[in-house]
Amino acid sequence: MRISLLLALAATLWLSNCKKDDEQPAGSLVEAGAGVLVTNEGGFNDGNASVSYFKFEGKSIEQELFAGVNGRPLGDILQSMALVGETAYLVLNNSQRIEIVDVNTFESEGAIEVQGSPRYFLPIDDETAYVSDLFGGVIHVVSLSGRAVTASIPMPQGWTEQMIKVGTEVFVASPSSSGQAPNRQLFVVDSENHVLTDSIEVGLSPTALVQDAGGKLWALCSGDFDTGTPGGLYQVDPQTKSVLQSFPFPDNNIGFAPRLAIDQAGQRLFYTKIDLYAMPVNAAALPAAPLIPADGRGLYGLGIEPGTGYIWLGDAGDYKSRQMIYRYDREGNLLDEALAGVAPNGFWFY
Amino acid sequence: MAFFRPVCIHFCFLLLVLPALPGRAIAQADTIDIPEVTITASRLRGWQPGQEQVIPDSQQLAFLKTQNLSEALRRQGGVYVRDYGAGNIATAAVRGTSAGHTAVLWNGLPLQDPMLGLTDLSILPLFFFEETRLALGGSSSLWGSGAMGGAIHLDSRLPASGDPRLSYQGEGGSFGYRSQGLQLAHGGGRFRSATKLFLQSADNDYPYTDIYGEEKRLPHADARQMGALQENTIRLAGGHQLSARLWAHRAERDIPPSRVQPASSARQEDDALRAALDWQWAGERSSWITRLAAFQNRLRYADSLTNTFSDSRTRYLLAEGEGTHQLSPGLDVKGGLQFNYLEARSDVYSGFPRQDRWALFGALRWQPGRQWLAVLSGRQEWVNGRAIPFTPALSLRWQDGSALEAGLSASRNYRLPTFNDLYWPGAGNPGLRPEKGWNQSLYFQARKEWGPWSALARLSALNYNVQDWIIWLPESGLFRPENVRRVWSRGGSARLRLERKLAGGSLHLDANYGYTRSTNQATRRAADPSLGQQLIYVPLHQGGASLAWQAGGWQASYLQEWAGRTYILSDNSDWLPGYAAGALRLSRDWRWKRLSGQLYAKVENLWDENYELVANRPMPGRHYRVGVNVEFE
Repeated sequence: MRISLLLALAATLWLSNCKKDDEQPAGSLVEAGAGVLVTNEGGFNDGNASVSYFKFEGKSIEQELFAGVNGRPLGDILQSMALVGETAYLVLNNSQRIEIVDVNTFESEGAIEVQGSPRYFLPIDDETAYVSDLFGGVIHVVSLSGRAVTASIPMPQGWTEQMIKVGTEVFVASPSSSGQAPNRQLFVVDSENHVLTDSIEVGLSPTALVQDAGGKLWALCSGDFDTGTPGGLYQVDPQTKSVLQSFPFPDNNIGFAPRLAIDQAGQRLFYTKIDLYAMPVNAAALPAAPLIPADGRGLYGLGIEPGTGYIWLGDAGDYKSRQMIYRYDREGNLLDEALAGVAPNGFWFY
Repeated sequence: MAFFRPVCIHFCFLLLVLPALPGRAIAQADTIDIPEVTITASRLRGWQPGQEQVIPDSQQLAFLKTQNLSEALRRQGGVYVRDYGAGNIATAAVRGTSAGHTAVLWNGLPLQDPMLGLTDLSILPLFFFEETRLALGGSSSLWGSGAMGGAIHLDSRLPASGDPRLSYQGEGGSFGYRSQGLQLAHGGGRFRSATKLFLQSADNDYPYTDIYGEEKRLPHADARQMGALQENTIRLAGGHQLSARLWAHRAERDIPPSRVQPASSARQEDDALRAALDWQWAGERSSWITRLAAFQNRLRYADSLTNTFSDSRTRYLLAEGEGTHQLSPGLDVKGGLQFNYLEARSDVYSGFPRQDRWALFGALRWQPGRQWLAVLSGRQEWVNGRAIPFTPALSLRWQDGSALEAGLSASRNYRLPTFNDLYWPGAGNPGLRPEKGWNQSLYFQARKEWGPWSALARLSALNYNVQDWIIWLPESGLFRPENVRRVWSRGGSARLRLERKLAGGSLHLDANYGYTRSTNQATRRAADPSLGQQLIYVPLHQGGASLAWQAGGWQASYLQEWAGRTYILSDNSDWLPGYAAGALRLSRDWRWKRLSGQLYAKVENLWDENYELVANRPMPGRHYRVGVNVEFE
């Protein structure tokens, strides 16, 4: 009996000491122009959002920059990141929080708590930024000096997504929201008075926005799964608030999270629709064939490297494992690949 | 997660994965005679002789009577209880399978929700069941869809004695926990009945640390449930017996935020109404039973923060007839026909899904002597007119007196796609095939008594394969279910029980350990990092132990549960650390005039271990409970 008891006690003590031993080393410093920051969204409620850093020279990748430097987890669902000078704003959707870090050191400089479900961060001026929201039907107005939400702009749709500022106006993509009528409008907000002023009808469920070399906006509309209505690409004149060109997609097989990006010169659009497509901004029609086929991957993050025009893609996999990121040249030839974090959803160049 | 729709968030929240049994949870020989007044789980007893079974110790169960099934399934190697925290959802996965592969049967009637294919153990109070049993291994040939990893049997037993009996159990403790049960039972004669009322509430505002290191109390975690169960049996002339049961249950819960969320506004309400009628006849060499059952469940979920609202009602009807006949001494045959009808009305579905299931099952039991017992069984089911794979099973036991015993079972098993798998708007896949697979298991057991000592040792091994395992993967804009995965689970378990008789009492030690290696053998892409890796929420190592002493009306016990690293990412790159949690229980029997009972006190999580069974869902730290049982005779 005594021996059994001792064995049971020993087993208990041994297991009590089985603690997690995977603490990451401190993240290396980020150097301007030397690499790409990868936002890894993480799994819902898994608390494993992270930022990876791929260095062009040596092609090495550092994981978990934030946790490594600050000694605590970054949070849950890293939806996006915004760079303002040397400050990075990391938007954590399910943590309802925006972490502020020095992009060179990744040391925490504070946080902005956002009651809601923050998605994207758009600096308006030195003092103000807008933050879109998944459910709240608002755009949050944030004071950068006060690091707090100071006001909310009521919006017609529950879901506000990507935003672009042109002059004093902010154009807001709003995908159709659960429980509301399908949306085809891009909304226009006066960023001086923080009020909704106008809307522009484009395709169904506007999701992503970029601006081309001519100052025109491109909206990626994702369509609707329930009705089978396809979305498309729409070119909009931000001055006249009119649609210049419409490129409806032939089907609504859009992929899990359609992305839209443009090269540094503002001449070549890239979008994911299961596969990756590339299209000059002056094209007369949508490309017939993809530039980079998904080949069974769940293409998720998309970024275009400044200067080289190289294409970065992230694979979401099953959203429950760390997955690969890929670097392609302009013609779609694979250059590099590396293992990043869970659900790599964006590439950010500093 | 741009297109991870709000409804999908709810769905995924409910997608859970589980495990374990306490105290003297010794598997017992399975050929127990059926007491006359058991409201019977007809096909089980004596028809799965080679299958290992675990029965939570009755003394420890007495401490848990006002708690829920999830509490009884702790501390058992090979079973993982995926518990979202006190008062919150909990499911059980057995031997490396998932929660959907564990059938939960109330007197032989399946309780799984047709939409999710799961059973929430946190709203099944132990007060309503006289016997709780876990059958390890697949038993689809007897129980149909879902019984792939194991089956939890919750059985009623009406009192044999004649006088009306009133009993009460009340318990209270930390974090606003209050739980009460009242039972009025009447036995003897031709008519027997039991009425049970149950009420439980808790604030669950226990301390925890969020991911930023801030110490908080769990907000928005109130839970409340109430239920009433009425059971009646009447014996008629000529060997006939009629039974009727009615069970109404309601649970209301605020769903607290996870450790990564600052707040939550989610709330879930579950309502269930279950009615069942049995008509049994037993003759000298033959018996039959016909049963009718109707279940209705309603689940309402509301979360204003995420704009998620759903209201789902499911209905389940069962009709079956089954007969047993003794062909010759030692040779019995059983056969039956079962009809199930399932439907769901939900504001998340665009249609009104319904399903008819017919099944024929049969079994042959052969006992050539005192040592051997063999059962060969099979089941063929048709779903909406389409045949699904035939599932045969062989179950074999050898016994040499009471000292040595060995069991072997081999079976084919299946699980039908859930309604969500088939009909989720835009994502459901009506072309899904049932999951299916073979499993084999083996055990050896030895008992020995010498002087005041007695001992039992058991070793078991398992080998399970599941093909066409359904998982939800991102595809064309939504998560969609696919028959992608192939899972191979293998491992073993060991159990040791020692008992020493003392003057006027006894001392028990019970320890168990389970090793489960369950790996993903097939993925959609060859380069998938989850290929060959351990399934998430299946710890490789797990176990429990208890040491109990009783004498002179006092009982004291110490219980320990532990699990090793539990992976939470499919590529095994992140995990929950191992944990070890202890509990202390002390009780004193008492009697006063015509009243008797027990007074008891419990310290749960004695060492204040900070642990989680689901990522970022903290379990409560050290907490206290006191309770009383009262029997009015």
